Amino acid sequence: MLESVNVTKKFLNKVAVDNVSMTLEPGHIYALLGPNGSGKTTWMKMVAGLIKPTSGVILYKGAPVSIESRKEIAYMSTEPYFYDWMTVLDVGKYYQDFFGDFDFNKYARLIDLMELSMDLKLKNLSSGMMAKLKVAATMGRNSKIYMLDEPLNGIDLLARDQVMKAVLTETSPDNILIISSHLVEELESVVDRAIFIKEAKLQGIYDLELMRSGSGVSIADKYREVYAR
Amino acid sequence: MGKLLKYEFRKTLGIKMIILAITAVIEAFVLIGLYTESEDTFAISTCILVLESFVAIILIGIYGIRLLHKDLNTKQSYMLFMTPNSSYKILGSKVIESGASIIIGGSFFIALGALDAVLISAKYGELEEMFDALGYFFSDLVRLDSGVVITSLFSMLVSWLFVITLGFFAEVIAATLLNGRKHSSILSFIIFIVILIVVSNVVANVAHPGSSSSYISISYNIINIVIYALLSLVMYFITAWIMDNKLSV
Repeated sequence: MLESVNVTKKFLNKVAVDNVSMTLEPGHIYALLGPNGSGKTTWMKMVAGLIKPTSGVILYKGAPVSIESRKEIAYMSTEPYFYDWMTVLDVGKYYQDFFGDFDFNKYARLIDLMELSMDLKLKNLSSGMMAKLKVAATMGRNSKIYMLDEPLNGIDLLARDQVMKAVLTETSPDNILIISSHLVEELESVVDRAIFIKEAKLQGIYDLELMRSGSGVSIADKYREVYAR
Repeated sequence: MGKLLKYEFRKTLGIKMIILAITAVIEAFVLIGLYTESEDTFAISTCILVLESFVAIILIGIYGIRLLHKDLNTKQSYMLFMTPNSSYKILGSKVIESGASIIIGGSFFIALGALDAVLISAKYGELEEMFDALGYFFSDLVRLDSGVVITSLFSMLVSWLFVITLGFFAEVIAATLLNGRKHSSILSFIIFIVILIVVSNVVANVAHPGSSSSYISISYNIINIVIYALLSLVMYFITAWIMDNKLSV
């Protein structure tokens, strides 16, 4: 269980996340939706412990996120963050050195699925290859919570299929999977809940099945409804 | 901590290889000058080697601070701060890497100097006379004895360690206040210089009242070692606490 309790983050004079309260439950795949600058990344980084909230608290298993929670929460940022001297193999070794839940065999399988190879140098990778490597490294962990920030950014349609396949096959029913993306329609078939954030504020969490069966509204329709107004 | 250290050493491998390559080239000129009996080549390359050894040690320290700047202000920060390691461990590994690199680097240059002295003596057979002359020169100049030499080396090492921990502190303060924005390098440099000047003056006036730096004794060095070791520890703990509780990357 992941709880965000009245979480606010301010950067000098800008409010990046404004009093966001929500509870995320295991067994669900959440789409975290909102335009650029709406606060999605900042919220995810606070869950990962990379950013400290100005006020409020993020609870994992009832305790504030800390060094301990990093053992069970896997975060993948939009931007590449690996050391440029590394190879694909080095990335795997690094994760194995620091994350007890990392499974090198799983990583190797994902690298294979993504059509990458262990001897590739990171400085020679295209943005699409780097995006796939980030997913492989993150999903190579057997974490309780996965947060993928724009995993489909900058990659072609076929690579997107590879990435989504990897993500879905490597998660288990007790996981919380949070995917932020601008590509709303691509997430429609993957996620079962959608979190809408607008101008740093939570607009709501919606169950897609209920939305579809209740009012016949798709995730894209809801997106237009929330952000067009 | 061991794994963090391993990667800290790996990150600084590039600069160390460059220093090693430059040293090898200069040393080659020293040996060429020695064995071709070209006094100019020998004298100039020896001077450059001595100068390079000091610059290299300073550079290793500065590079460690520069690396922390990168680890705080670029996306590479996630590689450290996403891992389940406390800031005390992360910073500790950086301090240990810097300290160890300085000791190893310093030992390497001292060993190289000793090797060159042996080669000179082998060539000219005047090793004993040379050391006598050097000993006479230095003992006259700074009243040299082995106790003073050893404590002076430790004093230099601990003082330099303080400079590095102060550099880390300044970087973390700037990163915490500016959160990766422009000019954090300038702010950290200003914080670093101001604190360094203040601390140096306080140590000089409070710990060594009335003493002149031209007279260095064992007790003078021991006071320096104790003060700078304590200050380094204080800097380390304050910096790690700020990283754990206030820093966002």
